[in-house]
Amino acid sequence: MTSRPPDWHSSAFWKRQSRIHHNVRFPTCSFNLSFAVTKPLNPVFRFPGSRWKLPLAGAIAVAAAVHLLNTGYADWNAGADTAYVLGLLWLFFSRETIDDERVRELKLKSLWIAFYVGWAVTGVVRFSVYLQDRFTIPRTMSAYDVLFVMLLLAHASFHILRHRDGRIFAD
Amino acid sequence: MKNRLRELRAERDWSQADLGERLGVSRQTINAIETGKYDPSLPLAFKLARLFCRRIEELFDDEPSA
Repeated sequence: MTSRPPDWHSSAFWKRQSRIHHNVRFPTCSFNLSFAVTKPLNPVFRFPGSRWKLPLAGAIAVAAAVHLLNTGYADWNAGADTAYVLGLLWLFFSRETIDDERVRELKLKSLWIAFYVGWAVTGVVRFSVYLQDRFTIPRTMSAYDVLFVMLLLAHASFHILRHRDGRIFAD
Repeated sequence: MKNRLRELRAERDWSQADLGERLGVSRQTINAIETGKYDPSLPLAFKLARLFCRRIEELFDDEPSA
């Protein structure tokens, strides 16, 4: 990695460069605009950093799966799913390290994807459960369970879309 | 929408991360704009134009790519 002078982002540096390289048009009004769009993060939303979000969402999903296998659906459904949903909600809506307009658009898009896919997936599950148990007391997924599935899908789709944004294609 | 971001960035020997740092956006966002996957908002387009000392229409072309 090449080292840069400390004033490389200032207009003085580029004016100096333009005097050195006469045939190259360097900008003379170059300045750092990051102050204009970078918002100070509230400490509540600063943790976890972006790199911890997906592992933490995965950990919540694994904890929920282990809990579900150990206790069965009826016990798992009795309030525990609320905690998982709140954890996923906090992770999803907390700010990224660089929370720019593209991140906000991708979050909206991933929520849109999660809503439709989650609705379809949970609809199939509910219908198959209904077909099995239609002569006994009907069991159905709670709204929190549907929300849990949707939030997991939202996390996954956001990170997939973000990963696709970062890929550099050779052209 | 086609744009000249990559070309102008290469002239100045800036990486995507450098440009993102100057604009306060992430490297992924710059890559998404360069590859045409994302059209920036008007405020961000103005910031890009000011940074490169160009007019917006010099940076972005609304003609559909062939």
